Amino acid sequence: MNRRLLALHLTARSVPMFAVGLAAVTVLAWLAGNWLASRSYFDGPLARVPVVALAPLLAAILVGPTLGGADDELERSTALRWRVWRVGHLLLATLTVAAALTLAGLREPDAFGAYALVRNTLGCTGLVAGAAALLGVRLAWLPAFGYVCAVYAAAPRQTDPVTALWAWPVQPSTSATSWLPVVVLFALGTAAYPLFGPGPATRPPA
Amino acid sequence: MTPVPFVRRTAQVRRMLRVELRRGTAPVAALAMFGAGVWMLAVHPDHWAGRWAGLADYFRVSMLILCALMVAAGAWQAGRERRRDLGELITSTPRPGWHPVVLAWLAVALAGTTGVLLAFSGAAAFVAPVATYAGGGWWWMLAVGVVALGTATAIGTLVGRLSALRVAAPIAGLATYLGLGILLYGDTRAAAWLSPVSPGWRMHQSIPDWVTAGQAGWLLALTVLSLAVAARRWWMAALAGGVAIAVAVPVATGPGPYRLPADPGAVQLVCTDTGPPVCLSRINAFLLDDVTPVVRPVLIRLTEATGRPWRAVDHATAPAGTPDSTDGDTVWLYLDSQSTVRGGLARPDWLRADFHTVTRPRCPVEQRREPDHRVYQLSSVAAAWLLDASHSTDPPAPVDPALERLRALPLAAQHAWFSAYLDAAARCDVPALIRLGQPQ
Repeated sequence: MNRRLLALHLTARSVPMFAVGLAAVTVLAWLAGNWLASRSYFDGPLARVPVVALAPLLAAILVGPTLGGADDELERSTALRWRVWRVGHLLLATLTVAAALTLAGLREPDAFGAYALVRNTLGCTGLVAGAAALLGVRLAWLPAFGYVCAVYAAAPRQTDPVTALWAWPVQPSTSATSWLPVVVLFALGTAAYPLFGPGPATRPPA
Repeated sequence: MTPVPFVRRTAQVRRMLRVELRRGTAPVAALAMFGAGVWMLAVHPDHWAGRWAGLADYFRVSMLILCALMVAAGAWQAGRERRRDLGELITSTPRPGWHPVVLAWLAVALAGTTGVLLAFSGAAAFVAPVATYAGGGWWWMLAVGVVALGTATAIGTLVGRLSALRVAAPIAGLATYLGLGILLYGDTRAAAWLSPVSPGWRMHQSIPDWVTAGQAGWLLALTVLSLAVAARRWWMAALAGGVAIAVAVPVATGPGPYRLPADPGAVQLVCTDTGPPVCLSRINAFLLDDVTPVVRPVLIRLTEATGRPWRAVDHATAPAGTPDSTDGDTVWLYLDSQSTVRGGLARPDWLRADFHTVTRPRCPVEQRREPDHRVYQLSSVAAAWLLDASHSTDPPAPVDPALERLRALPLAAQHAWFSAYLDAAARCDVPALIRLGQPQ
């Protein structure tokens, strides 16, 4: 792998656009988190549920378009170890998002802070990567968007293990069970995307 | 070139609309909005059940989610031409430029609105058999909500036309949610009236007609503005922008959202005929049969012990600014979130908790000073004595020894103790209260 190839790959996948978007999401998450935590009529740092649920979702949605190129069929025909490239791309994107969002939640990182942001980043990027393999890059955002929005709208207040399993995006990070589905989703996404690549919907229409 | 007759032209438009409704984003939007509507209704039935005004208000509360979805659907539909690379093909047809924009918007707006109205019609089927008040102009609130869905779709259409991002639709949806949320939390007069989202008005209040008309005008102007910019009709856009500003200014200076007048029809008293009076507002009167058995035994115990308060009344009927505490004669009941889907009483324990205002000592809140815990314990004993006569918990709650001692006294002595307690609590006479708490 040489440096030029890497630069071409990043440009072809609109990574500079992703970086700008991620920076904007991080700044917004930091501002919103501080604003919510400083309101006298809320529960301090515990009021950051909207940030913890929506910032990783937004960032993962931005990761989606970087998982496919302009012509995936053409890319597949090139003599490159695409599985390795895809694993590297996905892990690096997840790491970048998690690191950036961690900065937004460093103030009192427990419950609904940095740890929950990292957990939800893993869950959302896992969902987006899995959906990219299954539905294609164009619709990769749909399952994560639908699921997190539905859980967020339901706003369950319980932290029992069963609720933590399905409502992980809005659970405090101290709930150990809430990490289980996230680990499974991320593992599935990380396995499916490199193995199958971006799904059929990104291919140009016949 | 021979002009196309009007009848033929409308037939063409209808055909194109049918195609859009069948093959565009419209079916998915209808399904998503139906699902979102059902979900929202299922999450908080206590907000809408049993009251038409509550259902209309909850429709507007749900705008926070529904508008975000409509923006996303509009953006997805409008981005279709770019995704399919159809730009050149469409410009080669003799259709005017605004045709595809308006038809795409109309199809999504119609389908999404139909989907959510279908969900709310299901809720209306539960409200209709139990609602006791149908007035108050709630349908205008509903109508403004429908206009808002069209506006959201138009804004989405504009975003989809302007943005080349593959993920413009979900980002526009989330940004709409965040923007509307910020306006809601901003809690200003302008935000309350210019945003389609209701912060959750109390259901017996009414919004002035001119504010409702202004909101509809503002949202319609915003719809035309968005579609005109999307179709690059700059004169139309300028006109709609001017109208939007002209309407927004008076609407933004509407009455404060927490100073709305009560609807006189909704707050008419409906009382029980026998025993200590239990009175609810007409809008909450469907709960009267369920509220009475919970409230009446406590009222009887109160009147036997002290003679006052002798009636329980829905707080919705209280004049504006009435404090939560009892005024000596009346215990106020709070019923805004007290209905099940079929119109029953949702939380009898909350209703009983309203009687804590009778037994709570009227002590001024002092900063940096913890209240005497003995007074708090005694207030709990007094409340438990007042409420337990008609209530048993399952499993039985552990009984406070002080409460057991009180119950062991003859009934006349219990009444005397409670009367003395209420007297001391009303004066915040802490030494007297502490003396009442000591074993006799």
